[in-house]
Amino acid sequence: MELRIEKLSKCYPNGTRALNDVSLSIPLGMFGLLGPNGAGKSTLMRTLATLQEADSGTARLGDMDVLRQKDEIRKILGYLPQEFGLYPRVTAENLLSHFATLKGIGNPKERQNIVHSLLRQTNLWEHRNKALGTYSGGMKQRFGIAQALLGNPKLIIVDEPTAGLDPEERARFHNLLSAIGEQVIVILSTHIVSDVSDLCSNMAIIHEGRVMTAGTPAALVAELDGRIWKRAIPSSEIDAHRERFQVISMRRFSGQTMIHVYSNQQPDSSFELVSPDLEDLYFATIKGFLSTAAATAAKVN
Amino acid sequence: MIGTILLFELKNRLASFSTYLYFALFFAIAFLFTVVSGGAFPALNFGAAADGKVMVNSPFALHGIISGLSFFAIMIVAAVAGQATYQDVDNRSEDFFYTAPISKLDYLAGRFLGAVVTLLAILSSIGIGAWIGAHMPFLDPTKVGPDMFAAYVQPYLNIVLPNIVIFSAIFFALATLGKKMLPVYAGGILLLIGYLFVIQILADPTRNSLFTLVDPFGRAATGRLTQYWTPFERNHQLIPLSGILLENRLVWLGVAVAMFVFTYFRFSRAYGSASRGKRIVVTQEASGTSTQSLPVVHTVFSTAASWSQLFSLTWLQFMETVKNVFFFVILLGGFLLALFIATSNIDPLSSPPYPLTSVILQAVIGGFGLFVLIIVIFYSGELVWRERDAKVNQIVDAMPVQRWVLFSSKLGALMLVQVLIAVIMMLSALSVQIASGYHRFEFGLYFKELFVVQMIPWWILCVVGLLLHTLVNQKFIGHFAVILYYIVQIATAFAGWSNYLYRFGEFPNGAYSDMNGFGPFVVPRFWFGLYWVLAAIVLAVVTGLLWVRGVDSGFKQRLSLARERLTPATLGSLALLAALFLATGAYIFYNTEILHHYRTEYQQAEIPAQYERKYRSYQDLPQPKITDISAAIDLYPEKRSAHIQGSYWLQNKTEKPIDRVALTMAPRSQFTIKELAFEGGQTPVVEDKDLGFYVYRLTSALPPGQKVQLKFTFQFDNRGFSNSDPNVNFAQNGSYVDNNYLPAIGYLPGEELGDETIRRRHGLGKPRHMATLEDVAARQDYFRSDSDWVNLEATVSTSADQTAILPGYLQKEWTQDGRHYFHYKMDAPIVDLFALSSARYAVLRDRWNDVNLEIYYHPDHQFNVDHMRQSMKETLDYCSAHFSPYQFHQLRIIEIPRYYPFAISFANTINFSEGIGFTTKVEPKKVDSIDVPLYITAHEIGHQWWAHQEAPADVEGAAAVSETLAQYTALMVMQHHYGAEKMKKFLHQELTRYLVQRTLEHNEERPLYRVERQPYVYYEKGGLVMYALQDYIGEDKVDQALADFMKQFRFKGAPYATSQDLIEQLRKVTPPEYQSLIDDLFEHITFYESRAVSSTYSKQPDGRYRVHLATSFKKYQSDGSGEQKDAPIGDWIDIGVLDDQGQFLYLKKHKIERENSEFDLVVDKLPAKAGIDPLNKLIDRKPDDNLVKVTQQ
Repeated sequence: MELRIEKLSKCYPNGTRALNDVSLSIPLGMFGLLGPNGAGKSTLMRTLATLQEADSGTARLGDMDVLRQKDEIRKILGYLPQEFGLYPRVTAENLLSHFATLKGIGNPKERQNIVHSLLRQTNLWEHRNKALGTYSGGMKQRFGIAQALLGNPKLIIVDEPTAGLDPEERARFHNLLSAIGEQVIVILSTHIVSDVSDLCSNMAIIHEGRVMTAGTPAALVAELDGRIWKRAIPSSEIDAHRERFQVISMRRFSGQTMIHVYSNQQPDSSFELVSPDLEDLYFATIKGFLSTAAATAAKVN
Repeated sequence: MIGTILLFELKNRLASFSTYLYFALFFAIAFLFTVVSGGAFPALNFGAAADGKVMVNSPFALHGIISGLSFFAIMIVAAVAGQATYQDVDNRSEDFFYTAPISKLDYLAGRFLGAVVTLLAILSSIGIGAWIGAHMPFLDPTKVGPDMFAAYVQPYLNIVLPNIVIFSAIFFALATLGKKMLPVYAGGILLLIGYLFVIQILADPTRNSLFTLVDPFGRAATGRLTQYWTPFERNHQLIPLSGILLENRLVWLGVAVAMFVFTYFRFSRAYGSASRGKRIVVTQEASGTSTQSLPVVHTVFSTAASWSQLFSLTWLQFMETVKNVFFFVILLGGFLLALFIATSNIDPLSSPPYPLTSVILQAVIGGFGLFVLIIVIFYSGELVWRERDAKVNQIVDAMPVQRWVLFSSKLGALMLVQVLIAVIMMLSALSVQIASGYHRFEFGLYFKELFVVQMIPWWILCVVGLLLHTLVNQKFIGHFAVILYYIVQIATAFAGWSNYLYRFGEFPNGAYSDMNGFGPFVVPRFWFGLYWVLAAIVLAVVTGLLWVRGVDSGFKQRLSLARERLTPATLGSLALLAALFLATGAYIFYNTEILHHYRTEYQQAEIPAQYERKYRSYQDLPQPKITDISAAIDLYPEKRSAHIQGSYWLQNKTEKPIDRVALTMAPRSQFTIKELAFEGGQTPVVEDKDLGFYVYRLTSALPPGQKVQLKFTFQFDNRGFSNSDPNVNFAQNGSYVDNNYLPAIGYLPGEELGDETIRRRHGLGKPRHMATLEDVAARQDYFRSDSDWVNLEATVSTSADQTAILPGYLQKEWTQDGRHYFHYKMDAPIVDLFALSSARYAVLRDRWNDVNLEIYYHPDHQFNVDHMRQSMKETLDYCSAHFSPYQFHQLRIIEIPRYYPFAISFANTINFSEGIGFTTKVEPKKVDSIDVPLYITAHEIGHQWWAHQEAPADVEGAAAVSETLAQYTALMVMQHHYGAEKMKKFLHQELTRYLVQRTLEHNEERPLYRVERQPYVYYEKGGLVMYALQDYIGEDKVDQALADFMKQFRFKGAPYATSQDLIEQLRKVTPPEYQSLIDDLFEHITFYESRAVSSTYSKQPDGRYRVHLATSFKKYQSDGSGEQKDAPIGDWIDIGVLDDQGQFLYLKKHKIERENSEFDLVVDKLPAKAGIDPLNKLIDRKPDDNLVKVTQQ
């Protein structure tokens, strides 16, 4: 099964083009959707999660039309929105059980099993009888993940799921997803690069409503081989370097600033070649260096 | 700095759409209200100024509309004042303002003043709307008085501005300290609830005026201040900011200041001062062991699964709504109000009824009615917005739940809330019944009334609430839309838009009668109910189609989504529902417009208007008079139909032959005239079925003194149903058919419209006055212009299990073909008034001397039957001893259904409504309780003398010699039964009623001796006048005069008795010093203003007490419009001194000749109070200041 998105476009009434001719094909497994805030990730995910209408384009999951057969899609969908709340006066177990009913798990025994199992796996078991109003941000997020996994979803869409989680919670979440992520499609949006590198077999980078690049992380990163250079500079020279080079990223490093620069050749001798990682790919992409690689090369020369 | 903050707040408000919306809304309502009540649309009968003589722009009317509308604005006050500081919390901008270098006082005062100024600006729309409305050229000029600018300003000073400050302070404190809006809205609702309490408590004008202080709205104080204002005063006087109104305003402004100071000291700008609930502190979490794979589950998406989802969701929504302290408070408020209404007198001036299920249910429904509305308005929004408010909408919307399940769960939860309310209503009704020791619980009736009759409109309202909230898709404006819907419903109802075929979600109202059940209302309610339920289902489906799922909120997108959702199946069922709706509507139309004929109030009044225009010329045509009536009447109660066959003998009592006879038969739906034939032949001149007027030329003219027989046959069929007001005269159990169903001879002036305003709308001139007292020729029979004393004989039949009763003596009773026959005959001529009653009765029989006493009553209503029997005997005793012998050897009281709000006296037969007397609780031991059965029985039996022996002439003052004398009889019987002390409360209530009701006079008030159709004059004032007279000259003297008056007119024909004849007899027995009192009581509209100014006492050496009393006394005479003029004084008035037990130490009449008088009196015991006219015998608009405390010198 594969999710094929073709030429999906969406323009908000205020003129923002949230999606601009987005085409993607998403196979089974974890798919990372990487992009800065406002890139259109959430719009794409809400559209796939039946919550929003697209202006044009199609999305098909197997032989299902995602944009039209909403009821069918919802039957196999697990969705965790980016921002959500919970009924403050209901307990976690009750609400999860209620959601399980809504997900179509009619058998009470099964419902109880899955609810208990999910509460354990999201480490909410001890707090299952507490009202959700008393939950901390991380606990709420875990509850959100638990509900998204109810009812054997075949398409799981999680929008910024690790936001607000501490490292340990994040690790547990990664384990949970990867355990189920092999037989189903999981679309995960994030602006944290390591979420993708740790988890995803496929990915896309989306920026200003457009898909900038897509593929397996390894293959995409491999394209940057030999083009990423680094150098440590004093802070006072940052602006000058920005003028001269295609600076991908800067990081404070023992009183100086370590910059990564995109270039087909060594910019000058003070730069040394680094082996590229996903973060380099991400920044290079959203800064538009990849598509204009040739021009850049000319400028440098 | 404070100015900057104020300006910021004002700019903010000016930029807000809602400010303009509120302004426009109140402007529009005020404008419409003014133009409609100013008579812009002759067909609409509406508003304060439409009644009586009060101008639409009079100070009183303007005060009413401006302050009245501002009360409704309380939720706007809540929104604006609450938002004044809450906006910072809401926009998460509080940290900016809290950390800015401004003082706390600047911040709070600036925001508060901003809210007050904004609200004043918004509510100024009412005055502006009213002013523009009053200047529209298309108003009825007689409804518009001179422009008084102050009349527009005064209500703002008295009510609107103080209320804005008071309520803003309260809401401001709630929002500022609570940092939440919910308590603010809940506070608004609670205030409205409190307001209802206040209205209820203060509805009783006899209650202590201190109670007006508890009302923060100031309405009670205003009402109290103006309760006795006549039309003249309402048109000319500003309502002054003084007295209890000023006290009220000062007290509540003090509360407002205190609230603000409290807010100032409690308000803290520290972070997190708003409590956010205890957080879980995560200590140590079991580190993620291995992640086992999740258990396998099966998901089912069958229809059955959808239903179980629906139940689960509905229950969750319901519990979320109910498990909530505000809901609890609202419910508790409703419960308490219902208990309050049910236990207090519904009419504060009468005794409470037994807690019959039907009666108590009406009270409870009345008490809860507004709460149902509040709950639907409030919770339809809450439910529609619940997921979005909790931000869980994206999760739920992406779940595999059918849209109809999501929507239906909301509707279901809201409907369940109504069921819960009905259960609470039932519990409050039951607890009232149990508490008063009444144990006949009618659970069937509870079910039908609460869970069917009331529930259906509530449920329909639930659909409307959800629909509007879904359409508007903006929570606060949604609330407003629902309120607006309700206002439109009420306004159109007031405007006389009463065709239920077009009144969404409503169906005909009808009283429940213990005798007749829901009776004639069942069928129309069923059809109208079905009709509107179908419409509501259609709307529910549409709401489901427009239901917001997902994050798109643009209306265009939602429309295209709805189109997408409109599957062929949905479209098909919508079409089917719509077709059923239309079919039901067509059936209703057939019934109400073709079988019956729906008329608006205006069209209804057009019938007598046309009758008058076309046939008034016949009013002077000499006509014969009825002398004998015989009839055979077959009632079919189960079909509610009848066959009437009978005849009149008509005698020419004029001096000339009569060749044309006119007949009036008021047109009635489904009533067919089969025969209308004069013996000896006729030719029709006029046959107007629509207006019910017929003129026949007799084949041979009727010579003077001769008689002719008129034969008539009528058939009444009850087919189908009407829009409202079904014919209740023919009832399944409890028929009451009076002789208006038989023809009347001649043109009937009594059919003409009486109200001046309504007449003008129909292009008619001033209303007809009764003939003057001096018009000797007009002294014909007051009750029927076409008869004098008549002979009556009739055979009536009804169903086998019912008893049919008609005035007269039972000659024969038999059963034939499964029907029950009765033959009645009178042995002497009677006044031409009678009615036929038929029902399943229990009978109580007794004897008084040689008179058979019988009471026919509904078997469940035995409460007061014994008591009424006692009253029958006492009244017969009193009247036969003091006036003349009783003329019959039979006296019967017959119960009729609740539809008739009266008791009525026919010859030897009295009909009593089940709501009067039969079910009123008699508590003789309670000091202030009035024995209603005794009083009404005595009044009606009094009519056996004052109507059925002495008959009044059809001239001014006619009711003064029938109703007033029956009232006097009742007062005397009560006084002999209970003693003079118990009369005080009753007389005080009569005084209050008179003073209140004269303010509502539509035409002009008359002095008693020239009274027209003004019940408050001939009942209330008449009773007070006669009671005062017997107090001044003695009961025996009055009774002597009445006996002489009776002797003069007993069973006499024309000229009949007049008030002048009565006054003549009274003057004969009145000593010279009280002759002028008779002028004041009978011949003028006189008001006395007695006031005790101060009083002191000193102990004398002989152990007695010397009391010094200063009084003021004035006398006024009022004209018909209520304009008062000083009258010269020289009156004998009671001066009294009371001890602390309320016993009189001194009570004597003194002649008062100056406004200010002083008295020195000596009494034996320690005096407590002293005063002038202490028993309120005279008509005084301020009866409470006649006594003053006596203090030691």
